[in-house]
Amino acid sequence: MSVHMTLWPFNRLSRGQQIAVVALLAIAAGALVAPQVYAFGSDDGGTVKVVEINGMIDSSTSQQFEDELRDARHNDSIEAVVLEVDSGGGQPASSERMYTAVERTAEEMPVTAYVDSIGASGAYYAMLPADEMYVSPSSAVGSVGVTGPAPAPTGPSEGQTAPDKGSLHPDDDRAGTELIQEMFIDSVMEQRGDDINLSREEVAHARTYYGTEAVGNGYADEIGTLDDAIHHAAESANLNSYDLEFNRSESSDVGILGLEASENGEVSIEDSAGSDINPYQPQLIAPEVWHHEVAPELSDSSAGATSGGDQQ
Amino acid sequence: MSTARTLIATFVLGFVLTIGLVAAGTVVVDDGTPEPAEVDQSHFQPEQALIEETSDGGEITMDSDEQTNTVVIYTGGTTGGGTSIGQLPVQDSSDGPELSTGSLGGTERGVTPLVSTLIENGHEVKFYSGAATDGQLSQTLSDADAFVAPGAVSFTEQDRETITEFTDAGGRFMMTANPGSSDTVAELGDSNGLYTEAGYLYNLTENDNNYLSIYAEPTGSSDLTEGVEEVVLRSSSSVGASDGDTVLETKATMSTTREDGTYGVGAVDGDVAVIGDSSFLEPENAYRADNNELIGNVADFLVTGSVDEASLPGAGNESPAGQPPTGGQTQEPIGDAEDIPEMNTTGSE
Repeated sequence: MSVHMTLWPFNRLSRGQQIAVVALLAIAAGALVAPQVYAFGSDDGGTVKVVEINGMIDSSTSQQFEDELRDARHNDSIEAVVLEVDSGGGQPASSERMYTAVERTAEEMPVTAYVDSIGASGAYYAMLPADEMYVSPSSAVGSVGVTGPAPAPTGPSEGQTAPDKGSLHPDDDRAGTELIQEMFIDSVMEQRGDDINLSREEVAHARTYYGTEAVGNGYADEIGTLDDAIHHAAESANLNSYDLEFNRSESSDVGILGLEASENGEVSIEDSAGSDINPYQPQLIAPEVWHHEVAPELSDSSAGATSGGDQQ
Repeated sequence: MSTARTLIATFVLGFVLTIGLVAAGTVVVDDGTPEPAEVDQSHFQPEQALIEETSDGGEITMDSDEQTNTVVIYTGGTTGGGTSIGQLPVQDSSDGPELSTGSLGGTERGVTPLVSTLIENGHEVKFYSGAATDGQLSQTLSDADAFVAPGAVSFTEQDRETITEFTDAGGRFMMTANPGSSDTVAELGDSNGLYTEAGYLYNLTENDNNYLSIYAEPTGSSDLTEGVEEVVLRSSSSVGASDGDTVLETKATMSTTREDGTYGVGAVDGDVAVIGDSSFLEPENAYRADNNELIGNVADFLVTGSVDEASLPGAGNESPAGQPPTGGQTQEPIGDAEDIPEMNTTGSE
């Protein structure tokens, strides 16, 4: 009998020795479980996860972003999230997706945002639900507006089965852009209406503010850096000691001649120039980025008449 | 053997107990994949997000029962394009920034609703696209009752004199002053007490789906605004009259000064009318709000003058020829009749 055979040497031990062996086994089993018990029991340990919003916002950005935040919510050790923002925005739908992901996360744990050089338009949209926004003094924040081509009807074509398959009627075109714009402003007023001391009309002006101005008018909360944002997030989560989790993007010098990632490994924005951003659709992109990265070949008017108007 | 049995029983019991506890613990502790947090996003829902549309539709009708009048429309300028599709210059130069208002280009296309209304009511329309030589305009106007100069227009000094003579003789004259393309009003308006201001008007809160698309309302009662409650102008400049009446005004912001206020966008002084924008004439916009009423009134305005034919320009006396073209006329070729030895196309109707 195999059991008998297995236990046979054990049988020959004295009662006391048998107890000692069982006790040793118990200690070994306890040692296996102990770390989990320790992690469960210690209150002040936890992780602050830093998630980037970097470069042009398109569907792959928002997909990765939502995944990261979902992981943070599902991972019990992550107690707070910090958004590290350096983006001039991008596609409206992707920005809305990120906005929702942040709002959802902020319902469950403290979310703090930090803006490096730019957190405007779609990127500002995405971080709106954060509990606290830290900005560098000269960062660019705001730009609550839509930019894109003016309504430009084209002629009919037999290649399409219907007029709207070719180009929209200008009235419909305007209505669509206005819808995106209104939802953006609504989101701003919903999330920061109590902080922003500007009227809805002034917000709709879509101005980009410097960080210091943004703190002054309530577009952001504090002047600070990533460290401040992390510290605030940890404090809000009542973490006395905490770990940091970064998931910084890879360097950008893959396949692009002459482009190198900056020292901290962040992707330079030129990397996004070849992204899916379509300058012929309404976009949530700050004018600075639009003119340099998305549609440098388009005239001011196509990118929105305001800049042209300023030159009158 | 009893010891072995005891040990086996202990092992089995311990094992079962452990597994049982873990299983029970799993049930208690693990509540499945966490539900996503509820977020309030009612502002994304259709009932709250979708915007009310401005009314569209109606007819363009004329009230007057005037017999055949001849209306000359200047096509050397631009309305709603002409420089490029759907764009207007926002400064008086061809290479400057442009203001886009979304319509196909071309002056003739831009005034189609007005033209068809006039013809439908038995009037005659002639297009005048500029002249290679001075004097053509006076000849064209010599048998006209009204003259329309839409959009970005620039006239020679002699043409301006011709137009002044024409209006002095009782001919009706309507011009539109698109933002930036204020030449017409600046050149012709001052002698009639009409003026325009540089810059465009916008309204960020009350507009027809774009800050440039402003609503304008009549001030008091005027033939030009009869039956009009509200018109939509896609890109308007501010106009006014020193002697005459401001007939259309809007609550808006002036781009140059960023000052909020009430700005005139339509004015009439006797036989001369100016409207701050030509986009309301365009096919895409002609039926927006009460634009159709305004177009009908413009048509009535054009045919209800009383012209003293003997004093019309070109009726006998020739204006002094050989005036050098005035400077600053750097419109796109289509509007630059002096520099392009193009035709004098009159009477395409």
